[in-house]
Amino acid sequence: MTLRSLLLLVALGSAVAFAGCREQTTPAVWVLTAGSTSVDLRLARWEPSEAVAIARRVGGARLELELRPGFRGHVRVEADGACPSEASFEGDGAQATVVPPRVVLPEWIADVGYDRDVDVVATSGCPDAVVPPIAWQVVSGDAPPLHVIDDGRRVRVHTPSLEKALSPVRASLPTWGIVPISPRTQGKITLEARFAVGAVAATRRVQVVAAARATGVPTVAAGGRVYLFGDGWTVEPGAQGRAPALAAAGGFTEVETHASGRFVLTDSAGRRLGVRFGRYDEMALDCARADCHREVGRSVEGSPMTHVFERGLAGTLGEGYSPACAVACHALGEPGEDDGGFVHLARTLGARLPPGPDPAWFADMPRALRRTSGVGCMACHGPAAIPEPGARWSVLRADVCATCHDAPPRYGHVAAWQASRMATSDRTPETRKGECAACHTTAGFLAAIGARKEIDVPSEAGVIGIACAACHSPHAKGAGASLVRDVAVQGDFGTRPLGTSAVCVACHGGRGGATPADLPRATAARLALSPGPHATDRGCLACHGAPRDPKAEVHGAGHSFRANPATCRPCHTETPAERVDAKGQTIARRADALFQSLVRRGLVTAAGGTTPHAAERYAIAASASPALADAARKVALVHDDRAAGSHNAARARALLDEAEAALR
Amino acid sequence: MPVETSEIRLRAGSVTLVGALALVGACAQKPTQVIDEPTWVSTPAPSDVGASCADVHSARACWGASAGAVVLVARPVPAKGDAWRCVGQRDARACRRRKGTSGPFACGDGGCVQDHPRMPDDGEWECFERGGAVVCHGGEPAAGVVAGRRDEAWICGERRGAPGRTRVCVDLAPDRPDDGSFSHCTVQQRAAGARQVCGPTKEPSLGGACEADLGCPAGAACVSRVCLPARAPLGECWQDTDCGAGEVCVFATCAKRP
Repeated sequence: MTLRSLLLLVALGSAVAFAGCREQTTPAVWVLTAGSTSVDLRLARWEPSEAVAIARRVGGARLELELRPGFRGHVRVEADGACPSEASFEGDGAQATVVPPRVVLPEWIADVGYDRDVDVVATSGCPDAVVPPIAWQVVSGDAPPLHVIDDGRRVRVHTPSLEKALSPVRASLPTWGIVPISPRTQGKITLEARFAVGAVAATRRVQVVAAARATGVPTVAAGGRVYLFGDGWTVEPGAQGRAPALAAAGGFTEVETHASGRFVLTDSAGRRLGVRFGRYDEMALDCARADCHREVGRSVEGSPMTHVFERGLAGTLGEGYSPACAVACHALGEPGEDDGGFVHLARTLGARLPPGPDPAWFADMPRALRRTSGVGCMACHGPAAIPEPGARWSVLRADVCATCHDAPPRYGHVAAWQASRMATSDRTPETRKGECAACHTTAGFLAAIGARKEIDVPSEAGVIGIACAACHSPHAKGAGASLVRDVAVQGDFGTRPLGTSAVCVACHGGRGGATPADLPRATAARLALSPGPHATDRGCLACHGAPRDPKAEVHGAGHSFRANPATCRPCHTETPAERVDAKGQTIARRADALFQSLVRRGLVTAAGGTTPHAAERYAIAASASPALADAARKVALVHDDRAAGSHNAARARALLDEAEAALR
Repeated sequence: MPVETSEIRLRAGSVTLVGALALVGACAQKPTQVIDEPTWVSTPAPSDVGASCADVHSARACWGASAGAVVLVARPVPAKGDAWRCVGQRDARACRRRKGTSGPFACGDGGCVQDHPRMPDDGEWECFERGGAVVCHGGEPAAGVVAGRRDEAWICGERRGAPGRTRVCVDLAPDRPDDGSFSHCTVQQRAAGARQVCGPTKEPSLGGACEADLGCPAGAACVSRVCLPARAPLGECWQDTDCGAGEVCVFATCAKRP
């Protein structure tokens, strides 16, 4: 063989070999789509491995396998927890396969109703496979022992009754209209399933929820159910002949709402309640038009509530931020419901949330999702159109905030507040009238500080108290991270700015231009704001708020407003006790003795009123000279402040000294 | 020598065989290329010419070159097997998958409906669709919503006569159902939000096949047998009255009345 022949043979061999590499045909493409969020195609393996030229992974939800040109035969794909998929390729073209999970379990079983048996059934996603035995446990929620059937392939759980679910908060609820439902009362039971597929162990969670959360505001999501206090309610069909279905439910009325629109419900006494039903994604978000709520729109642009989901995805709420977990409160809607909320839309669009912070995901979020992300207008005022004027008082109730902030122990704001006297400040009819309302009712307070117009609150509204909306405002300009209202307060409170204490001082600093002499109500401000060892930037909250721990504040600590002795440490090694004076007396004892002396001398008599305030509770005798009347007032002020010794001991002692001198 | 020759022959055959096997092996052993696809895939369009270019459905048009006339250019996409939505020009062009970024089409015998169709941004818009292009006006920011990235595939501008107040945007490549038989779409504005409704009517459409200008919607030219907007879209008008005397509003752009 000549060298020429040899080279020819080598060239021929190479040409034959290269023919297999050259793109003779359009390559076949196999598109695999995850059939469940539990299937992660990033972990997929394929056989034969050499069949695939390019594997394009699009998150965990999609895998595109571009086969080598000319490949013919079977390809098999496997991923942990997913059914194996096979496809046969005889040429070019595209094939599509949905990859189901081996064990199909629902993530949410929402709105199943109270006091009901609910079966959670595991099925196999693979045609010929059997579901393995499953071990179940209740992770959270009020559930009786589980009834496990067929080696855990079916488990029965019983949701609590509405009466039982509401029992911890019943005293704080209204007595009529829509039953507010919070995470604490929605009868949510979290189950955990553990099973093994071959050698691979798997854990899944299933949320069984009796009812969607409800603000109590008569604008509710269509596609679910709400509850009304009492029974005997009726409803008339709407313009299109549709009406919600009503059913008695153990002293309540269950309302199934599949149609959007406005319906009037009537109770057995003939009282009417107009309710708007709608979906979050149906609402135009044009509230901030120039001719409407422009200022409110501008103020919420920078609100931490508006930005909460963005901040979470940006990682500013911690690297452990889980978007899938957070959307229940950092976006609109109820997970598991077809209410046009975020989770519903994500499911509809096929959008899979990232497992952790991912700023780019937020930036590129589909429009429909973005409009339902964050805690926007519709979180409190929706999902349907805002309530009619006669029902707008209902947005002032703490129940609105409770849909997220009533999930103790993690989010204990509302639970702590409900245990405080603030929650029952308007429990008697007298406190809702006249000038009392300015500090005893939320509506009256907001009107008094000029935050909104006076509105009528009907008697059936029940006890509202000084609710969240009195001190916090998502709308207010300049409200910081905690959304505390910036209230303009008249008076001399020392050298420091009031800061967030202004909202407290508006009532606890006296009315009509208070001064530090106005014990007891101004003393707290003086204590906090004047130079001295107790002066602090946190003002009232230094003692009556949460410990200085951002996490504690986020989780609602301090909303009982009880002074926490722990805040006195480390300066006071033990729980501080008031120092006795030279005569061995405490301020409280001195004040009490002086007060009794005033009574004996006929300078002070009980006025017979029911208000707790010193100035009104005691009547100073008309016969008292101006000096004695002033002395009596000072004694009464100190006497009425149970914490005078802590608030401003020096000032309290001075007032008592002055009173004693005048009374000698 | 014969032996030698035969040895040489054997060696020659071995070399051929080894060469072929080695190259086959090299081909077969080439590892799978695994790509974790980013949301936006850089997809340059080297054929772009002129001042502006845009995807027009599955075609691509450029304006400002060739004496100002619209020209048809190549429309690269990152991969086959899916629909892509692309923004930018030349080297700055990038594409992302359409799936999951707007509402899916629900199809029946008579057509398809898409809830949550694309809009220029998160704001409030009113839209209509004509000749295969969607035109929207408005753009009032959505209250209580953190503004996200604008959809740059829309060509937007200020509405004539309403500077600073109203924007107009046009999308030359709106979503279409996978089933190509329902390619005639309209946008319906409802109280419950906009939706796109697609049916089988065969009307001329941008991006559609044509033989002459008459086979294209008004304002479009038949270029290389594809209907393309005759003028570079500007996003300047919502209706004819926004334009000057003797002009009409076509694809959100004022043009001389034909």
